Amino acid sequence: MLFNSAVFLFAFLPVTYLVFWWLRTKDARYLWLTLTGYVFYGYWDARFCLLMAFSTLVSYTAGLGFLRWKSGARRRACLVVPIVVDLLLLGFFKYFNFALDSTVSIARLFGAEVSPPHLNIVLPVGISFYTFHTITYIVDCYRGVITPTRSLFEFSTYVSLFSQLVAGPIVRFRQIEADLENIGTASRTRWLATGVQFFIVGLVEKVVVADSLAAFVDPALANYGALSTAGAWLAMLGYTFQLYFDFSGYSTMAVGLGYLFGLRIPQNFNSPYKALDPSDFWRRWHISLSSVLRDYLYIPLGGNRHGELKAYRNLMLTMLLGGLWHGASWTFVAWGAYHGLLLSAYRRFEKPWDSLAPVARRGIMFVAVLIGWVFFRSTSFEMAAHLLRVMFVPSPGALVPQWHLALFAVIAAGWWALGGPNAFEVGNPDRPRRRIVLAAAFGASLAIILGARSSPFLYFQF
Amino acid sequence: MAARPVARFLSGTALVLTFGVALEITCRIEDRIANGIPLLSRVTQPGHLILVDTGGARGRPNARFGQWRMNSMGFRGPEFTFSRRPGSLRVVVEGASETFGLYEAPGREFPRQLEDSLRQRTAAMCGAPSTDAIEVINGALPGMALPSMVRHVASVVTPLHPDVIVLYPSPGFYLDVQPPRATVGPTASDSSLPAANALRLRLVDRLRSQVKSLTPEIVLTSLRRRSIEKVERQHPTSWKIRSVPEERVALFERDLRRAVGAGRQTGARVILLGHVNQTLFPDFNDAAALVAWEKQFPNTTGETLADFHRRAREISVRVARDSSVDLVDPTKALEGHWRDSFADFVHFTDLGAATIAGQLASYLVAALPNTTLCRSSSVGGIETPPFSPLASGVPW
Repeated sequence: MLFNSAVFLFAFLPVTYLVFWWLRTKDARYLWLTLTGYVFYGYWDARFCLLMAFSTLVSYTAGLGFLRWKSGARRRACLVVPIVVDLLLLGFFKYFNFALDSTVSIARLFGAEVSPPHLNIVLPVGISFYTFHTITYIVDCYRGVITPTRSLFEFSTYVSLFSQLVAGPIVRFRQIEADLENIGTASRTRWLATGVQFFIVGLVEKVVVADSLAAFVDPALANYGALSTAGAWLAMLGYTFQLYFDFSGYSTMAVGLGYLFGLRIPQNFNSPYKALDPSDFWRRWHISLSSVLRDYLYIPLGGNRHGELKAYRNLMLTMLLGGLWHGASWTFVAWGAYHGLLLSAYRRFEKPWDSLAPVARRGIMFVAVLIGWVFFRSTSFEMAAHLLRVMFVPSPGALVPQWHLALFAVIAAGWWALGGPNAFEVGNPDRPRRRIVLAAAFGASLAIILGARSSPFLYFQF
Repeated sequence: MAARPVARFLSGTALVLTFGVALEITCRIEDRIANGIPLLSRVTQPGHLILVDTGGARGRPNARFGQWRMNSMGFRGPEFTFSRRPGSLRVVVEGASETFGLYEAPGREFPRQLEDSLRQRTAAMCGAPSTDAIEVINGALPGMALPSMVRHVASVVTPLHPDVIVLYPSPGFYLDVQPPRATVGPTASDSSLPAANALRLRLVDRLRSQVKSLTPEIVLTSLRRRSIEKVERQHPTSWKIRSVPEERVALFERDLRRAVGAGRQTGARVILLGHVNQTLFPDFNDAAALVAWEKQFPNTTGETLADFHRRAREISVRVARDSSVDLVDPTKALEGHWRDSFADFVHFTDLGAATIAGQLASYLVAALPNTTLCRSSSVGGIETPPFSPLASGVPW
C-alpha cells in the first residue's frame, strides 16, 4: 500500500484515523496501531509480517533483558544476539545473492569456474528500515540512553508504525518515546492542522513533482545509450530532483501522518540541495539515516578522535556501508565511496573551501551531488561510465522525450528545491490563504492519483 | 456572534470550491499532457469516438478519450495515407471492442501487434530490414455488430484498397433485446458533439473507475446480480432468454455471410477469425465472470451467452467452408495461458492480444506468397488517390 494510492487515502487512512481516536486507552491505541501497521505491511506480502513480528519479539525480549541485567555477559548477550539476528536476516534477504555473485566474479578473476545455486530471494519491503529501528533501540537500551519498554504493544507500535515502516524516516525510540507514552491522552486537534499540512506538502512533492519528472526521466535513462550531452544532463538533472522530491515527499507525508496520530516524527530532509559543503549536505539529506550512521557507526569506530588518517578511514567505512545499505549493488558502494571521498576532501580542504563565495560553494556542491547520483541511478558501471562520458564530452544524440515539458518540470522543481521553502519552512497552517493553497494542492494531487498514474516510491527498493 | 458561523461557512465553501476546481483543472491538464486530449474536449465517453451519419458508423477523426486516440481518418492507430506504395501489403481488421482494444496498453491491441509481428517475420524471412510497407489498419469500433460492419466495409474500408480483410465478429450482440441493425444517422454531415460536453466534469470518471477498482470482486458480483435482478423484475419472466434462440442464430449466420461478401467485394482476401472467450476453455469455472457478462445482456443468462458463442463458432466454420474463405481459430494458441489472456469474459490483455496477433501473423506468412511479403521495400508511385475522403483537421 502506498501513501499516494487511492486505497490508502480513501480506505486505510480514514478507518485507521477514526478508530484510533475513537479508542480511549493507551493499550487499545497501541494495539490498533500495531494491527494497522501489520495490515499496511501485509498488503504487499503477508508472509513477511512473520519476519517483522520475529524481529520485534527478539528486540523486545532483549529490552526486558536489559531491565533485568544491569551488567555482565548476559547484558552483552542482550546487545549482541538481537543485533546479530537482525543483521543475519537483513544479510540473507538483501545481500545473500549479491555476496554470491560477487564471490563468483572474484573467483572467475582468478580463473576458477564456480556456479553456486542462485536463490530466488524476495526482498521484504522496508526490511532495511525496521532493522535499523530495532538495532538503534537495542543499542540505546544497552548504552542506557533509554529505558526499555515493558509494554510489548508500545514496542510493536514503534516498530510497525505504518507511517515510518517501509521507507523511513528511521525514527529512534527516544525521539517518539514521550509521545508514545502519552498516546492515551493525546489531543486529536492539537497537531491536526500541522499534520494535514505536512501530508499535503509531501503528497505534492511526490505526486505532482517527482512523478511528473519520472515521466521523462525513466524512459530517457532506460535508453541512456541514445542520449546526447544535453539529453544526459537534462535526464540527470531531472533524476536529481525526482529522487529528492520522491523521498522527501514520502518522509514529509510520514511526518504528517505521525502528527495526525499525535506522534511527532522528526524532519528527514532540510533542503539538501542548498548545502554548502559535503558535511552540510549530509546534515540535510536523509537526516535520520546520516545521524544513525554517525551515532552508531562513525563515532563507535573512533570518529575523528584518533588522528587524521583514522578519521578518513572512518569516514570512508561509514559511507561505504551507507552506500551498501541503499542496495545490494557495487554501484551503490561506489556512490558511498564517492561521498566518502567528498567528505574526506572537505575535511582536508575545509578552510580554502569555506573561503569561497556561498553561491559558488552551493553550485559546485550541487553538481558534485548530481555526479554522485549517476552511480546511484545506474544499474551497472558501464551505464555510469557512459553517462559521465556523454555528460562531460560533447556527444550527439537524443534529448529526453517531450524535452520542452521536461525542461519546464526541471526548472520548476529546481526553483522549489534550491530557492523555495521545504515542508518545515512553510509556516503556520492556520492562515486562511495558506489553507486555500493547501486545498488546491490537495485537489491537484488527488486528480493525478485518481488518474492512477502514481508510481511506487524510489526508496522502497532500499 | 452571528458573523462567525457565516465566516466559517464562507471559508469552508471557498476551501471546497478551490479543492474541486484544482481537481478538475489538474485532470484536464494531465489528460492534455499524457494523452493529448484538449482541455475543452467535447469527447466525454468512449461512444463519442464514433460518429454516425447516413453512411453509417465510423471513427470520429482526431477524437481522443482516455487512452484511445483516433487518427485524422477516424481509425485507432498511427496515421497512414490513402495512397499506397506499390508492393506494399495492407491489412484491415474489422471487429468490435475486442479488436479495437479496451484493456490493452496503447499500441498493444492485437491489430497493432499483428503489424509488428508481420514486419518482424517478413524481415526475417526475406532477409531484409523491417519495413513499414506492411501496414495493419485497425478498422474496428466499439459496439460494431455485423450489420454495421457490412456497411463500414463498403463505405470506409473499400476506398483503402486492402489486400487482406480480417473479420472478427462479436456474436454477443445477437442476444440483445433487439437484434443488431446497421446504425445510420439522420444527416449526411458530421454529427458534431454539443459544446456543453466540454464542461462535463472529468473527475467523475476518474472517481468512478477508482471506486470500481477499490471494490472487492465479491461485492462487485453481488451488485451486478442485484442490478440484473432489478432489470428482470421490470419485465415478464418470458423476457429473459434462457436457451439459444434459433432465429438469432440464423440472423447471425445471415449477417456473417453478408460481411464476408462485403469483404470480398473490396477485392481483398477475407480471413475470418473465430471468436474466442473464456467460457470456451474446459477448465473455465468462473461464475463471477458469467455474472459480469450477463450484466451486459440482462435479458439473457450467462450460460445462454456462452452457448450462443459456441454455436457462433460452429457457424463461422460453416460459413468459412461454404464461402471458401480462410478461418483462423486462436483457441488452441490460447490454451494453457487463457486465464492471463483475458481481461474480462471476451476482451484481451496484452498477452491475449499478442497471442491472437502471433497466430494471425503465422497464418498470413504461410498463406500469402513470399513474393507478396518480400516485395515491400521499394518506394514507388501511387496506386490510389492521394487524398482522404475521411480526413478532417478538426481536433476533438
